[in-house]
Amino acid sequence: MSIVVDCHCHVGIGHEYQQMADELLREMDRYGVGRAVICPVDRCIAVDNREGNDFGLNTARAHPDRFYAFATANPWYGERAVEELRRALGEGTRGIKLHPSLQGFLLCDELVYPLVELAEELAVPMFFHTGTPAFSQPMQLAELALRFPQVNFIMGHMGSTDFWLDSIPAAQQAKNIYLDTSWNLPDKVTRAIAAVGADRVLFGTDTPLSTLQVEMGCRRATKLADNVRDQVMGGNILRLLGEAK
Amino acid sequence: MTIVDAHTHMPGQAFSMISGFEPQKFVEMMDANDVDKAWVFTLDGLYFDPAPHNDLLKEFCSVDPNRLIPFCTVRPRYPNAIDELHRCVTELGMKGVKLHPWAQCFSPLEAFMDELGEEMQSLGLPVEFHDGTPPYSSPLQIAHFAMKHPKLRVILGHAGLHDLWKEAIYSAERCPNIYLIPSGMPAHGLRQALERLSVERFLFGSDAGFGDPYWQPFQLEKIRSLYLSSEEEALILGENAERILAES
Repeated sequence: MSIVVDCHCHVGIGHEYQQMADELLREMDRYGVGRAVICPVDRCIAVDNREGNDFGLNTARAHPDRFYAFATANPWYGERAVEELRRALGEGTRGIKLHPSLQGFLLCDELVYPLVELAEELAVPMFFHTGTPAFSQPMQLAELALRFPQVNFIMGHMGSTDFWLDSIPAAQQAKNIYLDTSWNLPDKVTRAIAAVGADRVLFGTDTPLSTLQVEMGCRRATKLADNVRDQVMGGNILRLLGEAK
Repeated sequence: MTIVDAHTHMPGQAFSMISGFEPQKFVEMMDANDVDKAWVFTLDGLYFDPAPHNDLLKEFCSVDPNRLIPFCTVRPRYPNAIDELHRCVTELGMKGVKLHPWAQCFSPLEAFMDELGEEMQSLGLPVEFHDGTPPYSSPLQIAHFAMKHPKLRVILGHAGLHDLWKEAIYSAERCPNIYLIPSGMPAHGLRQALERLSVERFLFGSDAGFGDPYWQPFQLEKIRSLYLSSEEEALILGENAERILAES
């Protein structure tokens, strides 16, 4: 099997949760995860954006063969948010993570357009938390994705929990939406693959909110052909990051 | 150790992803996961008239009545809700009640909930609510209902799900008659909840029968991944549920 890459982890000391690189690496080694996308923790997503971005950058620099850092900025900071993302992406972060519920904006509001335009200019993927009413819904992501067809959007945990019915129709509307498997049981993942194709479903864990033990157990229980498994478990996120061979 | 899954559904036709699951297959699923007993709720009866589905549930559970424990449902808004509750207890031998505010189109704060709450309390029936999804199923809305009926055992079937698990903790801290089933609560939230609440307040539940057959191992794994003491694990996985029914 080719390398396993987790598209959704958090590293740092947050308000609700914390996870340091060595703990995450230990878990990754234990469960056979080669690399991971690391995002800032809750507090740094909400307000201390630069602190979180630098933490991710430094973590990724210390383990360049294991981590890809994603940067965040609260769109309410306006031009300063764009500047911070441009800085962080210039210094080596590989994508943008936004959390509309935590950052207090409607997912598809014009407020976020300047950040999406930056993602388009620099050709980096954008990861959105979804599943929380009222601001983080899959259909709002579809609306944004239809407006920016050149940007690749990752739908964090596929609308889980109660917007699972929306996730596949949203991804069918906008072909530039990719689905993160975290929190999702085998059945939902196999349905997603059947509905939108194996090249648009990405393995993720959302650790430390979830755990690699639980999420890898779920993925082991998901029956997939070898070539599909390789795509979902790592190939697709590597392609979005421009890392595919 | 006795393992009791305190949140399962008889697979239905209306909304289940595993329609046509025979009772024997349900028991086989439990065997495969070493689950000894299940509290079983209707699924279709949440969307349609409950009475015929309470009958069907009773029949489903009669395949193995020592292991499949039926909980009835009623539509709180229906004028016959109290009558149906009595029928389920006296004629069908139901052991508890399942309510799903958004599927059944009611808020836990509506006036008709007062009488239903009093009846369930006087009959000694535990009631399990779907929770975690606004507008009608927030833990603190259910807590307000629970406060009015302090002897009624109120179980939050998802402990707030992903977004409101902290609200579930606050609810349980506020109301000693609230119990939590951490199906839908992230592992991280469960860890925090266990630091703040007595272990007697937690029940294992999976939502099995609603969807993926992997629900049961998934939720078991979440509890086992916390590496609790064997005494604590035994309480959560079965003893607390057994105690609640024994005291009812």
